[in-house]
Amino acid sequence: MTLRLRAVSLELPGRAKLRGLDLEVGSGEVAMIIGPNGCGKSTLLQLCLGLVEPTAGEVLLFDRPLGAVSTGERRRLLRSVGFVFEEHALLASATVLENLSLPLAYAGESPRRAVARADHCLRLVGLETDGGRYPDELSPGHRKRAALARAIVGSPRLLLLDEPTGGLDSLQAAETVGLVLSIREQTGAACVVASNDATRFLRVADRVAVLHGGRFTTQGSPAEVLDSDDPWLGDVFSRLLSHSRRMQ
Amino acid sequence: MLSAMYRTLGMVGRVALSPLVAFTGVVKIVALSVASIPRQPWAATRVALRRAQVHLHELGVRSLPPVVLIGLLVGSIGSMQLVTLLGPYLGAERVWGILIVLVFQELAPIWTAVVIASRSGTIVTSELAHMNASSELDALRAMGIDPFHYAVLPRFVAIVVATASLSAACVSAALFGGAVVAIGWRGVPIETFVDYVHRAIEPIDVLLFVGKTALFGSVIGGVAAWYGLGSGARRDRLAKAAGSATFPAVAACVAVDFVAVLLRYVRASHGSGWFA
Repeated sequence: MTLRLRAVSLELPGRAKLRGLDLEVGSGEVAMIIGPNGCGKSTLLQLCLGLVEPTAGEVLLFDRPLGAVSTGERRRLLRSVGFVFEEHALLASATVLENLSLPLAYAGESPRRAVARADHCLRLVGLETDGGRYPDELSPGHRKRAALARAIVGSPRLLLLDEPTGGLDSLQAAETVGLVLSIREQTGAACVVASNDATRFLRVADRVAVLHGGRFTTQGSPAEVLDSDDPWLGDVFSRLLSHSRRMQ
Repeated sequence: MLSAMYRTLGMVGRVALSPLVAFTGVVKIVALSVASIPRQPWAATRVALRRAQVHLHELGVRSLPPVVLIGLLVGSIGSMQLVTLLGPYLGAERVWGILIVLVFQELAPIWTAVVIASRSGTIVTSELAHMNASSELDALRAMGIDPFHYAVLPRFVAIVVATASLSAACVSAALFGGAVVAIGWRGVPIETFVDYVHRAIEPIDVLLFVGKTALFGSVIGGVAAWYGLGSGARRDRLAKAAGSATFPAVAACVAVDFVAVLLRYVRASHGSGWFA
C-alpha cells in the first residue's frame, strides 16, 4: 500500500480538527479528498508528510509507520513523495532550475544529472524557457506548473497535490488537470488530490473521500459518492444546480 | 484577586526565564545546523557551500563600507581624544599603545558586531521568517531536505566568516585612522607608529581576536536564526521578528565581551594572564 491512514486524529490549536480518519491509497491510484474550505484537507496532506504529527492513530507511507521511523529513513521515504503546496512554496531565492535540482542534489545526484533531469521535468510542464527565472517572476499558473515539476523531479511513487487548481482561471485549471493526468500516466505514481474543485478531478479519481466536520463523511468510488446522500455534497450540488438555472 | 496575582507571577516568571529560553534555543539551532553537516551527500554539501558564498557576499561584502567608515572614524576620534586628554600625563607611547589595544580588543569587534547585527542579522531573520511564513521550510522538509542544512547553516557560516573578516577590516581602518592622526597631526614617524602596533599586539591577542569575533558571529547568526525560525507561519510577525533580533544580538555580544574581559583580568590578577 502506498499510503495508509489508520484512525488518524489531530487536535491542535490553530488547526482544523481531524477525527478517526482511515484512508488507503494503492499503487497508481488517484484518490481525491473534497470538502469545504477550512475542513482540514491541507492539514491532512501535511499529516501524510509527517509535517504535523497526529495526536492519535498512525500514517503509513509505503507500509512504514511515519511516526516510528528514524529521521534519516523518514527523509528517504519522503524523497519518494512529490508534494505541491497550495501556495506553491517554491524557494524564492533560487531560480526555477535550482528549485528543481535541489531535491536531486540532496538525494546525492551529480549536478550535471540533476540539471538534466530538472530540464526534462521543465519541458514536461512547458516551462523549458523559464528555468533561469525566479518564482516571483512567473505568473501564478506557471508557478503552479513549476511546483508540479519540482514534485515529479525525484520520480516519486506518490504525489500529494493540495488545491492544484486553486487561484487559476478556468483555462489554466483545465491545463493543470491535464498536466497532472499526463504526468500520472507517464510516472504511474499514486496521486492524492485535495481540492474544492470536485468537478475537474472527480471523473478521473479511483476513490473519493468527503472530509467534513473533521471526519470522512462519505468514501468510495466517484459513482458511489455521487449516489450517496452526503449532506455537504447534496448542498454543493443543489447550489450548483440553482446557480446554473439562474445563469440560464 | 488570586488569579491576578497568579497572572502577574506568571508574567514575571516568563520575563525572568526568557533569556534562558532564548539561550537554549540559540544553542539548539547552532547545534542542529552543525550536526546536519556530516549527514549529507557531497552534492548537497556543494549546494550549501555555494549558498554560503552567495550569503557571504550579501551579508559580508556589502557591509564592508559602513564597517570601514566606522573603523576610520573610531580610530581617528579615539586617537585625538586620547592624545589630547591623556597625552600630557602618560606620554605618547603609552597613549598610542592604549588606543591600539582598545581598538584591537574592544572597539573594532564590538562596532563590527553592531553593524553586522543590525544589517546582516536583520536580513537573516527576515529571510528565515519569510521562508517560514511562505511554507518554504515545510517544502524542504517535504522533499526530505534538512532545513537547517540548506537554510540556516549557510547563513550562519556566512555571518561567522563575515564578522571575523569585517572585524579585521575595522581594525585596519581604525589603525589607519589613528595613524593619520598620529603621523599627520602629532608628527609621529611612521616607523614609530608601526613599532607601537607591534609592541601592543601579541600573537596570542590575534588568536583571541579571531576567537572572539567568530564567537560574536555565532551569537549574531544564532540569535538571528532563532528569531527568524521562531516567528511562526504568520506573515504579520515577519517585520516584528526582523526588528526584534538586533538588540538581543548586540546585547549578547556585549555580554560575551564582558565575560571575556572578566576572564582576562581574573587571569591577569593571578599573575598568569596574557595581559600581565
